[in-house]
Amino acid sequence: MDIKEVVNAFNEMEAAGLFARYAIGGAVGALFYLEPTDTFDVDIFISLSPVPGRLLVDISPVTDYLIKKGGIREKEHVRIFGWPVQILAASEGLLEEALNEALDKDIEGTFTRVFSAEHLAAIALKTGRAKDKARLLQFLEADVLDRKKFHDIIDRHGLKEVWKKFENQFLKDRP
Amino acid sequence: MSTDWEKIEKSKREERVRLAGLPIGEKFRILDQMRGRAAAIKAQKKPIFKKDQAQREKG
Repeated sequence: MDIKEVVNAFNEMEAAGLFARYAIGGAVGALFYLEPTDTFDVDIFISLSPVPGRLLVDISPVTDYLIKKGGIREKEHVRIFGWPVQILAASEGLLEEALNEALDKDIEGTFTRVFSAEHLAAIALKTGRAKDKARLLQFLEADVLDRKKFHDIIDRHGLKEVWKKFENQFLKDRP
Repeated sequence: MSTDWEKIEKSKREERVRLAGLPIGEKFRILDQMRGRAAAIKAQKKPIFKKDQAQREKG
């Protein structure tokens, strides 16, 4: 399975110290909790420190490593082992927390790390595109969220009002 | 003939729950198939609007 090759590359980079920690987010992260839904890429979040004197983190050592392993740069992705991989720095509060609290998972013997269902749902609420709202509804319908943990996260990250709006739009009058 | 939407929704929900409960390796295999199908459709897709056609030709 090609995704195992992708996560192995990130396991190697983490072991080599290219970044402190990585975890899968987005639709592929949601796959660990929900039914499969079509997605073309995999979002991998990494913790990187900005280089002193620069505001932005530099993910080029990671992309260079993947390219050395046969990856091809395609706009904002690196395509490797059949997967367009988007490497994202967990650079703000909610993403940082999601990465720090990501859970260890196993894909048929291969170690990886994935955002918790509650963090994925909170990120979907925050990003708020149509597909994110659909994913949040999937999480709620599947009843896989620890509701207290989810509400603690949205309170902590100032998403209470966004949640109220979402609730009014999608969850009112539901049985 | 009437359509029993509740029954349809119930069976869809049951199927989603069944799929969500599959082992992760199995879910990735399903996802791989879905991605393969989506790529094949995308490769054959004819543009719906002239603007799309122009953008495709432009690259």
